[in-house]
Amino acid sequence: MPHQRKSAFILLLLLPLPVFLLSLTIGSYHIPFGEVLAILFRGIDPLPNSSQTQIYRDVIFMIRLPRILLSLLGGIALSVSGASLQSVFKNPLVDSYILGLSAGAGLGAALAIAFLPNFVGLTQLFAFSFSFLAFMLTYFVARDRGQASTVSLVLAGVIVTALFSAALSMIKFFTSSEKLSSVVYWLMGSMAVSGWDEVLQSGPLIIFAFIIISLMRWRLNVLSMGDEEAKSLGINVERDRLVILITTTLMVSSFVSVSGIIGWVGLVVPHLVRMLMGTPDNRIVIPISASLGGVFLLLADDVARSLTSYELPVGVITTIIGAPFFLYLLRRRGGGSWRQ
Amino acid sequence: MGYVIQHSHNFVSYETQNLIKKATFHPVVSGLRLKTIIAVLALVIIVVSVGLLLTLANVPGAPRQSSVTIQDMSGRSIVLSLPVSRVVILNSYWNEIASTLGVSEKIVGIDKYTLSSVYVPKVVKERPVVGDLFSGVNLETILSLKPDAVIMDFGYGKTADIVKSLESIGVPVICMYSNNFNDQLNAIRLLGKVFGVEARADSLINFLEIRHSIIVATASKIPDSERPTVLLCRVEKDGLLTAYANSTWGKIVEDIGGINIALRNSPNQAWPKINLETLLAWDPEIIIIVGYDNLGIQSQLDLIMKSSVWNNLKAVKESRVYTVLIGSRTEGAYLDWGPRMLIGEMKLAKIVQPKYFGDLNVDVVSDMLFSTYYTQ
Amino acid sequence: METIVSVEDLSFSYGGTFKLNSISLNVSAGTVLTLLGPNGCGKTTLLKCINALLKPESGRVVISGRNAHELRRWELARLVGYVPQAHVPPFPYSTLDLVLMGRTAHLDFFQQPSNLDYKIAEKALSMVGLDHLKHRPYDQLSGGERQLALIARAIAQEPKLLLLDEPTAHLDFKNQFLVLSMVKRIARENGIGVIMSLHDPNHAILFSDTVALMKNGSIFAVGPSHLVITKEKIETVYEISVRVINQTNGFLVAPSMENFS
Repeated sequence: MPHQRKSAFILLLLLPLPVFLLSLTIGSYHIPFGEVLAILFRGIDPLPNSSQTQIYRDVIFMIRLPRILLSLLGGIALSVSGASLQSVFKNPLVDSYILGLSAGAGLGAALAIAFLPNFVGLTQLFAFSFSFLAFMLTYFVARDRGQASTVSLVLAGVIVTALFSAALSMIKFFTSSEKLSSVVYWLMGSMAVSGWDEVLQSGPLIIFAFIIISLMRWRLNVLSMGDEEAKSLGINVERDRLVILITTTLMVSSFVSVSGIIGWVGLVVPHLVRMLMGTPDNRIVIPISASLGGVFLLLADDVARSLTSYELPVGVITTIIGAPFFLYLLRRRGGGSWRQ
Repeated sequence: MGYVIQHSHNFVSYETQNLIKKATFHPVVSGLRLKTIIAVLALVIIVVSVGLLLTLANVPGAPRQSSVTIQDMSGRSIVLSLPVSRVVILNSYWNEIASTLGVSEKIVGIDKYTLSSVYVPKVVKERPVVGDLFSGVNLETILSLKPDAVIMDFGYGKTADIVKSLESIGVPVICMYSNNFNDQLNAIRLLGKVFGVEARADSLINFLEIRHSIIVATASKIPDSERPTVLLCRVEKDGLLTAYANSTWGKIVEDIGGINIALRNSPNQAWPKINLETLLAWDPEIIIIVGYDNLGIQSQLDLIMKSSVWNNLKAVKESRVYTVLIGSRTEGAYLDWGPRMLIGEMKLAKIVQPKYFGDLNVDVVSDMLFSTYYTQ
Repeated sequence: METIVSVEDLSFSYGGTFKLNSISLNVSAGTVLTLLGPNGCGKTTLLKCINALLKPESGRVVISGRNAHELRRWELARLVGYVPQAHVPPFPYSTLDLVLMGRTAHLDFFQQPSNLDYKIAEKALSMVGLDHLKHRPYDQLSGGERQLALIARAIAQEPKLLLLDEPTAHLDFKNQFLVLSMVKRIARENGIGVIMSLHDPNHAILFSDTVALMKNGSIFAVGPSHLVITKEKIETVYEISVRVINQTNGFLVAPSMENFS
């Protein structure tokens, strides 16, 4: 088993590379494959001064590359946080939105869209701040005598989500129809007009948080055994859990704030990984979730941007793929992924 | 290319070593595995930085010949060569105006909502759809259409991001804006300049401006005592009414000699929502219900007529409840952006001030407008 | 003999009522102390207080000369191994990975288990005789095997003191004896002090050096099993009448059938 798992591990870890290259060649603007490679790897050489090549470079470096990187980063953020939270909550059915993040981001974005001028970056800033605020609220509502048990965290998450959603409905009610549509579309999640700004806004935080989670992947295993056992095994459960909650919140908030809400990635990918690798060991699940999550969101976004002449919301695509697949996983169950 | 292949080899041999160690499930691997992750990340970061460097190096775009600077309706200065010959237009009404200016063949891409306009020529609606201002546009599709410029609204939805992205790939964006009749005339003027059809634009502006100013001048002389209170509204599915207060149509009500009761009560809101109690309290003399199509208007009427207050309203008792089609989805809808706005305004004037505008012949003006400008 | 743990005048209350009332106990290296008593007498609460999972109202727990409630979790986990009742975790880790978790207290915050940790975990597994199952998912083991794996995990912590909460619960007749004899052997061979809670006085007789008989949160009697497990004391604590059956090499306790007729 270890041998077989090892090969799968290497294969899956390297999977983003070919998908990355493939994605660079996909798009509604036709660029010959050879040109893509030429531009990509000889990009620094002075190119023949043709305007066509200039457009090719623009398409690759200004449209495709930032979007591909954002998809990879987003896939990492959503699935790694999903895998981590599933361990922390000892529940394979939670994802990064359980702590009220999506409702928080939605409310922040709606506030900015409804009441503030239409500046680039303002909606993102509000979405990020409010999703972090939602998490803080969830955590402090859940805290009782200095402890936030997983059950009370889940309940607090539900309460905060309900509160924020109600506030969102309130804003929708007082908003003009034009802005209302903006809010609705923001909630659907899309990377249609994302560029380098979005990559630079969310990338560093996501990578930083991913490194922290990666270093704590063994601790995640121990935390998933439950509070008392983890304590008995020498873990400061309150502190470690808070570190993981904050880290995952940073990761997801910074992505959601630039992309809108994209569902199912954090739920489906870690499951798929546990099934493929035949182990719940986070030392394997975390890195592979990162690579498969990146690949999943990247492929979904490839479909979103190249299936039609216009844009499909990528959140809808991940749901269409994710929800039935999740149902299949639940029914299959075997595979060593999880049991009740 | 060779660079990357070399790297992949490194990964493989690296992991193969691990594999040998890991055969007995030994844990040194976990440390090394982390290094692998970091290596992959590092590669991604390298690619990002290379991309960034390349794009920064490429910022000075290809120089364009005979470019001029114009100011768009958001106040931005845009450098482009005029007249344009290939344009992507992302709102149905700017598509409609461009078509009335006779340049529909220059429109090479449209937005999703233009498809549902009956006032945009078929030839335009057959153009590729590149997305819309709410869910975003496909930048590559726009680039592949090789437009000289993109024309679109600003200030809502994803417009800010779309403008930013389009400019970053060197596509000039002309932002349009309209909040009243004069804005419409300015928009027509700007589009005339952009497409190089100033003469036709001026004649259209003349046609609209003369008739509009006569109406406004006539209405301004109406004494306050003869101005009825008017509610222009939609009936929502939840039974509440959305009133047109400080909005374009809401202000037109005042221009044609009515008292917009919603505007007087909520001067700062464009579309306040009101309930039936407020409706009863306001008790306007004229109620105008607007809708995008006849079916929608009928269901709005069915809904409001069921309510208990309906028969107690002055407007109902005096049979001064009217319906008006808006938007661009239905033939006969005139209250919308674009040259048709004049017809919509005339129709409203006849409803609100029959004494002063009863003899306005809307059909004649409408025939003239459509036969002259909507014949493509 | 070296004293591993001394519980000194420990009291614990919850919601205003005392659950533990000035408990004092000592356990020496290599010996097994059994907590015996009816349901709700405070056995589990006492184990949790010793493991600093619960904070006592007064009194203290001194393990290897250090106050358990003043130690950080990782420091305590290097002294105390806690064996919960066999359970099914939500994630089916392999048995080896489960045992490896015992090494956590010896790792830095961002550290992953090393070769050495694997060796220690594997040694712990072979000590309980589960080598052949190390790659098997933990949830596919039998109840007895799971209990042994949890014991192996606690051993991998390299503790001075082992706490076991009803290690025989849910086990069949044979496995009860297998697990308990394993516990006693580990105590003897490694010089580890053991405190465990049991339900069956006969198990206590067979596998412990000292028995603490508990009732209503207090120690009713403590001492060698033949002094503590007497007809009178058992009858007082459990409130049923029993008879003691003397054998050539020991004795057993059985309920009198008159209780049930």
